[in-house]
Amino acid sequence: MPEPLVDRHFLEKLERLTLGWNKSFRGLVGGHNISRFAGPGQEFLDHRSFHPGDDLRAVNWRAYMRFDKLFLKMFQVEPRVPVRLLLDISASMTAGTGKDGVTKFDYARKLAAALVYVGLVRLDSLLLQPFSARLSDPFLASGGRHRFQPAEIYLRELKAGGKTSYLETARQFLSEYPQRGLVIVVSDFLDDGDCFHPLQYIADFGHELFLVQLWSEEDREPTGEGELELIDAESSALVKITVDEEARRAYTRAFDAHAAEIRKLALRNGGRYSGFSTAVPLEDAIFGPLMMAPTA
Amino acid sequence: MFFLNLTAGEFFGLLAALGGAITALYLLDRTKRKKIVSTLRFWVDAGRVQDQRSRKRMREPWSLVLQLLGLLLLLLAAAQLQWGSRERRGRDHVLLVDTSAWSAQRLGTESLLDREKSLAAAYLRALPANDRVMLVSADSLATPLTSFTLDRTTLFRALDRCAAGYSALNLPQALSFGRQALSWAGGRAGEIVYAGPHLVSGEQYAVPEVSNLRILDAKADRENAGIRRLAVRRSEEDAGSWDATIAVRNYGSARRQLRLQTQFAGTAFAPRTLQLAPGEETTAEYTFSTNTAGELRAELLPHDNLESDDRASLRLPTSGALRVAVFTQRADLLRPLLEANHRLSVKFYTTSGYMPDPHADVIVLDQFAPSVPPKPAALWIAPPRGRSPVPVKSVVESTVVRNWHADAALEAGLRAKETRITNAEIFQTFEGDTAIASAAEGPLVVVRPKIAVIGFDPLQGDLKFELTTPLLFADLLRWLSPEAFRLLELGAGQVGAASVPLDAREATERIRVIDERGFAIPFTVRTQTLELFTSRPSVVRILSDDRERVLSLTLPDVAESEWTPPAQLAHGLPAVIRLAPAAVDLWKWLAIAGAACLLAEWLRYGRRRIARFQAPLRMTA
Repeated sequence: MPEPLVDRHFLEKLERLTLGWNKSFRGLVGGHNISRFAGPGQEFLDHRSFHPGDDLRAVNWRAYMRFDKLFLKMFQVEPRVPVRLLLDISASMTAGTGKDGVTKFDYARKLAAALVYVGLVRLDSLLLQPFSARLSDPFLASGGRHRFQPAEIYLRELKAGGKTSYLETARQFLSEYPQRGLVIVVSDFLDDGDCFHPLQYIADFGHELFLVQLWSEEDREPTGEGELELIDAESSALVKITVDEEARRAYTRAFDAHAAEIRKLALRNGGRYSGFSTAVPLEDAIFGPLMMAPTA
Repeated sequence: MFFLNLTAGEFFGLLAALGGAITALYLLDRTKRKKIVSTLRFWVDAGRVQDQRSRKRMREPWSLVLQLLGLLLLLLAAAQLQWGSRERRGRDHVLLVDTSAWSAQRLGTESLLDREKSLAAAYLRALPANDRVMLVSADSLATPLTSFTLDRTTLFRALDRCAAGYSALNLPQALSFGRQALSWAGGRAGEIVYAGPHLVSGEQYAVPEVSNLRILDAKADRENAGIRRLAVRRSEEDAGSWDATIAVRNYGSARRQLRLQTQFAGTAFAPRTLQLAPGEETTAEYTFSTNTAGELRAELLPHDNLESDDRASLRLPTSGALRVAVFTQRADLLRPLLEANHRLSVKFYTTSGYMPDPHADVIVLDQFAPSVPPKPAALWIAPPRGRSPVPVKSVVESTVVRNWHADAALEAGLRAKETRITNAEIFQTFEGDTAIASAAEGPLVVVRPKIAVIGFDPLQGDLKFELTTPLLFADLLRWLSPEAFRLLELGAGQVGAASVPLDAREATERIRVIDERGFAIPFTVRTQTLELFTSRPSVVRILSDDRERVLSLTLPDVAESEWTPPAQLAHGLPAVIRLAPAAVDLWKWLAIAGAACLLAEWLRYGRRRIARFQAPLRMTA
């Protein structure tokens, strides 16, 4: 029997968490986050003038008898907001294992499983959407915690490979999922192209971004010195390079600058950002940097 | 400039091999390593992308240069590179000082060893100051007293401490040791110098030819006679009698008349006058009776220059008779059975006069069981059924002894025909018990530590007339007190190799050889002869099943033959040589320089190599 992605004790700890978002979304009834949009709720929100076509059941008749004018009562809504988790399964996620042999891909799958469980506990629906060059077949996890196992099996059977294309992914995503919601992107954000513009498109479309950047120690602070032949995990491109202490420092500086840009993009669009190494235990990562991810 | 420890071929061979290994490791360390990375986007800006046309084949060449230079310097240090002329270098000499038994001979006011020391000291003074010397004490063994040293004070001090030994000179072994020492020293071989009378044992004529041997002749006065052996053994007929044998030899070239005086416990007896031709050896035999312990001494008069072999002594123990106390109501029947054995000292008591500790080695309880158990070992004859030390399983009125169980210590002679006995007790045996005789119903005679039980009366019925009965008693008493029946032989012999002939029935695997402190001494047994070796006076005990030999190896092993050195060998003291200062030793400076090179390489390049493989694990959130 294959080893579960997350163990039972860890799942028990996850039950006190909830998936939250900052923005207000229009959505179906049944959620647990209050929206600033009015809708078919129970709590009174405001009045507005009646327009033809409005629901007569929401007319404040007392106000009409007093002012001889139709006012419509508006109610606060707690919409069910779609949560979509974009999981990077490109080949770069398998490069640069940590000391314990865990790849970013393994780590990302465990993290995704944990987030799915958190969503299922609160009866949220969470769409798992793997991507590399394009979107792969998604999996919708919903129906409570008892539906966690299919999601875990789905995640366990995912295979990494291919080259990342954020532009194609964003285009496809926006066309397939017009309803706004929370978009959690779990990735190393290390594509050869530009990941900033596609992410910006998603944010501009009205989605709330939660960018989770993963890196291995080798990604951020590479070892090795001297003459190296570096092979890109995705494109297999080869670069012969001379690495010394200064070069490695410059590399780390460039990497940190890249991570800062991603963070800036998320915060600028009202989203959140969390970046951590795969050397950090998953439990520490969820209850640490992920929960305390900075917002704008 | 020359190498001390290595030949040029060895040096360059080592340099090539190690240098090649270092270069190979260097190139391996700096070969390009392939590495799969998540992205190349940061590397292109951070690292120096190589231009294939101008790429250098060697990176960090100074690292390789420093490593090779360090290796070269360390190898030169190991080779003990010296600056100067090889001819003016010091040589190594081995100085053998004869400390054999002859060296104790008095020659006027000084001993022969003093003469040897004077010659050795003169030789040391004649040597150049940069010659190293190893001082070796040579007798039956070659024992180095110093290592090769330039320090003359150490050598003179060791020379003063030399003392005369007791063994004969083993010159071939001493010369072989000297040659090996010179080859192992690694220096320039000098001379092997022997100071002594070159008197060797007869079997050592095959002295190897040593071209660099120098003889410092110290003549001994060979007019000597001495005791070669003193042997004593207990008489077979009487436990209180001893047979002594003294062997005397005339080593000199003149006929000698000697008086051999013997005394035991301070009482002189049977002095004899011996006439000995040159080289003759004679034996004097004595028989004397004593029940007491004491020292047997033999002395040759008049004394000669070598007095250490003019006396010999042995410590004799008390009578070896086994003390047996018999508690019986029928002493008349048992008396002929027990008193026939001269190794037994038997006292009879009635059963009413029983005492648990009657000052005896063994107690015999005849058809009687005391209320207080006996302290020494006891032989029980037909004990009462309820008080037997071995539980009685049953009593049969008549039975037949079916078999006598074979056992190494107990079986001797017990092979009687089937014997019928009456009123026999059948014993219940347990683990550790040994049944000696058995009937169909069970064991009849049983032994266990310090106890032997006969379950019938052997003095009645058919057994009364069988030879088996006295043999059974003798074997049971021997089993209860084996040491009392052990045949004792004492002898005084010469220090060195000793050979002891063994009886054909002595089991060699059960022989033990120990010294006076109880420590085991190594020995070999070849063709039923035990051989051992002692380099110093000691008392050796050889123990076997029924025999104990005590060898007092305290007499000097006086060599009989003189080895004549070949005429071409150097004799006497060399001319005093004064040389200019020797070559300058460079190895310390070379070692320091080599270490400095390696340290510099490590500080400049090595640390980073380690750091590359120990990237810190940082938790970043």
